[in-house]
Amino acid sequence: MDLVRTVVDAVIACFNCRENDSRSGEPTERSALLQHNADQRILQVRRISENQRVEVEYANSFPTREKDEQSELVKIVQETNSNIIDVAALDTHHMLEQSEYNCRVKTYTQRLAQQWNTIPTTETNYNGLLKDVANPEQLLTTNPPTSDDVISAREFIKDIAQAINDIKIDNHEDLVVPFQVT
Amino acid sequence: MEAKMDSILDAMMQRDQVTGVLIADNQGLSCGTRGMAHSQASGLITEISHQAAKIHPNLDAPVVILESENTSVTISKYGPHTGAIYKKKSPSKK
Amino acid sequence: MSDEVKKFFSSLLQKINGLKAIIISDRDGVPILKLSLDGKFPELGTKQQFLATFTIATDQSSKMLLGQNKSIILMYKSTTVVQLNKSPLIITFVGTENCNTGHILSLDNEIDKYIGEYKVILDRD
Repeated sequence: MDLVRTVVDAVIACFNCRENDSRSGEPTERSALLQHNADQRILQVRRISENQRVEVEYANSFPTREKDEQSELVKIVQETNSNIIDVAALDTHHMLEQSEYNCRVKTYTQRLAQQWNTIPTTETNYNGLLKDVANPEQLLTTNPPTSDDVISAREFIKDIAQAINDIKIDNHEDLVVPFQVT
Repeated sequence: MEAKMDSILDAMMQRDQVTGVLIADNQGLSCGTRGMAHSQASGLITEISHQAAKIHPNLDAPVVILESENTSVTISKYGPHTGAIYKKKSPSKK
Repeated sequence: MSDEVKKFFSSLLQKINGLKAIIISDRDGVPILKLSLDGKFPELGTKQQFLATFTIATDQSSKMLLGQNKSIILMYKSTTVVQLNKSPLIITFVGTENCNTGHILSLDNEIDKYIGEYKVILDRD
């Protein structure tokens, strides 16, 4: 008997729901909290596998399309390429074609000639001797250098020269060291 | 290594009126500087002593003293090395 | 102005001890201005191939985390070559083995004032 009652209850509830649905769009206490399209979205999300879920959640930081992946890879290759110190590149001779070389020389001389014609030549003012010295007479009447000054200067440079000649480079560390290796 | 050179340069800086010291090699490249001496000047200082040495090629390079209003620069040369000592000028006795 | 630039570089040839030639070229070693003390150009230092090698060398050495490479000095048994990186220009100084290298390097800032118009020529490409 109980079973029959619950079944009847459920049927009534179903009818009520349909009644609600058939009514206008305004929500009542019996209308579903989630709309129809929202239900669908949930189903969709559930259907998406775990891997894809990660993709959806981090869509901004994840190259979703293959094209983006490609360009990203190209970018990494380019960056690495520009950061490598390519000693071997020094060996390749960058020889220009003779014709191009001549052509460029010609254009450069032409352009220079053009420029020389368009820019007015400014006269250079030659500075007179002692022009930038405020009181030349004061400077010229100072005491001449003493012989002590000269001797001390000579001794100083002699000592220094000796000290520099004594410089010896002792190797303490490895000659080859890892450089920027991570 | 270059400790001896450094100590000579420092000792020179301690002297009266000295405001800067510079040492350059034969190619005008600076070996060491102290005080107001700028390593950019090494080329010019070497050049001055080279030119002055041409006056009497058979004698030792002369000591050249450049004077301005309040500083004097004493340039001396020994072998391939050129040194410059910048000094504050003492007031002239009249 | 241009006359002045030429005069400036010619005066460098006179001023700097042991300097033989100055070449201003583009990155591929095509010369824009060539000056020499005696009208002759030393074989090695003035070849297009040689000049262009600097471009690669300066590019590669800029990757050593020491910043942009500014100049390269090459010291041979009888020749010194100093090359300055003034992108898009290369300025090459060729001198004897005793050439005053320090003097050339100290001119770095002064040269900047004069090479503007040569840069303009290249920029027109």
